[in-house]
Amino acid sequence: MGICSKPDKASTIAKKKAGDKKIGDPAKPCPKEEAHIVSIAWLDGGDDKTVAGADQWVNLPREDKWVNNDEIKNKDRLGMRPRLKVKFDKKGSHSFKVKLLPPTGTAAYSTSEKSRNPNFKYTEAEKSFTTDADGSKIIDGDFQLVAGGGFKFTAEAKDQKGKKVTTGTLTTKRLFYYLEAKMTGLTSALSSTTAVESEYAKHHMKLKKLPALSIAHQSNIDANNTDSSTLSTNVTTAVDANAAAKAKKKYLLTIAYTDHLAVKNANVTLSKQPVDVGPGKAKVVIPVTARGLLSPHTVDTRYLWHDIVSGEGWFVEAKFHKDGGGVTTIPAGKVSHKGTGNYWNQVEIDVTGLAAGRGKIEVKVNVVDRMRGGVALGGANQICVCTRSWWSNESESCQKCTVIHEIGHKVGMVANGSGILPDKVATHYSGKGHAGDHCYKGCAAGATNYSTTANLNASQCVIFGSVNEKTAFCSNCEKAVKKLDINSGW
Amino acid sequence: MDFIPDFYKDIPLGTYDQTPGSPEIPSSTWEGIIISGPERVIPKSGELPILPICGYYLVPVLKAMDGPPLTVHVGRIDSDLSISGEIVEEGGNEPLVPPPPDAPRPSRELFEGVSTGGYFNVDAQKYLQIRLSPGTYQITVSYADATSNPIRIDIAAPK
Repeated sequence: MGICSKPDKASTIAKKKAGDKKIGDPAKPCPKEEAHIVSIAWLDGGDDKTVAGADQWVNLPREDKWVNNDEIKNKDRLGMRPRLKVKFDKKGSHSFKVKLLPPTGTAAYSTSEKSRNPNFKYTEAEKSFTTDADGSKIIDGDFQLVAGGGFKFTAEAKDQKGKKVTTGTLTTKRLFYYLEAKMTGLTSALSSTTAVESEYAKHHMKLKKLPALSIAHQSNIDANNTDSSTLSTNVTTAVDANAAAKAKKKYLLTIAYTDHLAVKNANVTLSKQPVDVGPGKAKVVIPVTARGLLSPHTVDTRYLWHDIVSGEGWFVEAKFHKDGGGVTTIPAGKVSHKGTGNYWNQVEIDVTGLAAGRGKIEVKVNVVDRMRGGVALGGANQICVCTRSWWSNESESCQKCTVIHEIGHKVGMVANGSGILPDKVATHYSGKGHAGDHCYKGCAAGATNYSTTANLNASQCVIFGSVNEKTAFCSNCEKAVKKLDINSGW
Repeated sequence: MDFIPDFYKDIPLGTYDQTPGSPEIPSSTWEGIIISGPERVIPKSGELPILPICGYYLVPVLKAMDGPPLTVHVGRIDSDLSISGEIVEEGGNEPLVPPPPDAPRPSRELFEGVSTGGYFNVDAQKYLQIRLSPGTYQITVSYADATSNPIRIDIAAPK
């Protein structure tokens, strides 16, 4: 029962005996229906502090440690379940109902998305509440927003007389921290990450930069576990030694820069026959070719492995197999490389020192299988971007493209419609000449191999499978980026 | 999982180096494809069998360029079951940096008489559409118009 503070009507008083009504008499109970809802608002840093409109950083937990006094001024702006306060015009217990209105701003999650990820479902049900004795009510945890960004939420409250009030707009955003870990001695690491931050900001993802760290130099990160483990350990050690960075760890992404991210195909055999050897015979030239280590395993021209890792060269061994029997080892000094610039794609064998004969020359060489622009280190909050490829400094535009691309992988792109990810992006592909989940927007659908120059030139999305110097997600991918759930951090 | 011989349990599958399981190359003039594998695979209870195949190929470049990928063929000895699967390895998420368009590339004619070769160590089961049940299987691998020697592998019931 509410406490009625409204004075009796004059006519009512007149009907009463003089002296029956005195100033200061206790208010008498009045019916509930006379109380009216006044407001509903999002709380903002205190039980009596509200805000009309704000950004809600949905991926971060509602914990003091994530308040940064910049974008996030108080705990109420954290998490998917913001607090609300409802007020009536009278004290007492008054019933009312609250619901979230369907959000606007970002495309709605599909039925499939909502069935796969509970964080894609906002609380659609209307819920009933009763005010506390003071005629107000704080609602805490009853209404869930969504994990995606750019969704504009308004809550509506309705009293028993049907009077409705609404909140201002809360816009969902995501925020994570990042820092650059630059290996010592690099000459061409990306000078500015402004373009990276801008691209993700377009999709309601705030990347907040922490001061850069320095890590030990590795001239190459190969596809083997040793290189990436060393890198990962170095990054982790540097982050752990920095209190500010360590404190953000669960929502901290590290961008490491190295020289090359080249993959070596070791001990490739090349042979040529028939060849004539002996004094006066012409040098034998063998084009370098090898089966690719990854799908589609194309047998193609490869370039000899050199000047990528100190102490590692391309030559392994060379032998002459004489027809009819007999094997002669050919000294390393008799085998040289041919090519243009650093692109050594032929080996040349001086056979004049061998005894005259005919047979087969067989050489074993190390070749470059592929050069990667970047890698997302599995299971860790780390990516690595190359500052050199094919023996040259990588351009700023390539590095920007790669950083945006790799962060994309770390936050779940290109969504393939599985698990907690948004639905499969219309132009998603996996493998097909590249490694991993990428977007072919701009290229023809259904290609078996997207690693051609034509496809590279036609591609439109930053998360195409080759570094294409684009710095934006395409119209298909950007929808998914907005919807991604990064609540779990790394 | 146990293997006979037991060194197969230490073979790093999905790699392309010579390993203790790699076959001996028949002769210095040999070309083709050759494989080896364990005689017996003995999964433990709850384990799905792994079928380690170690191999080496040395094949004409032009045939390898134009032909289908390395393919494993498995036939069950006591039935007509016969399946094949292309040995295709997908990588992780990594954007590639292609060589520049003006990087030198030889014409096809230069590959006449040239062969390319390398080792491989794979789990053949990974490339098959069905899970192999206990039994004895004959396995071959084909590439660039060449077919390997057949090997027999017995998959025991899990124990």
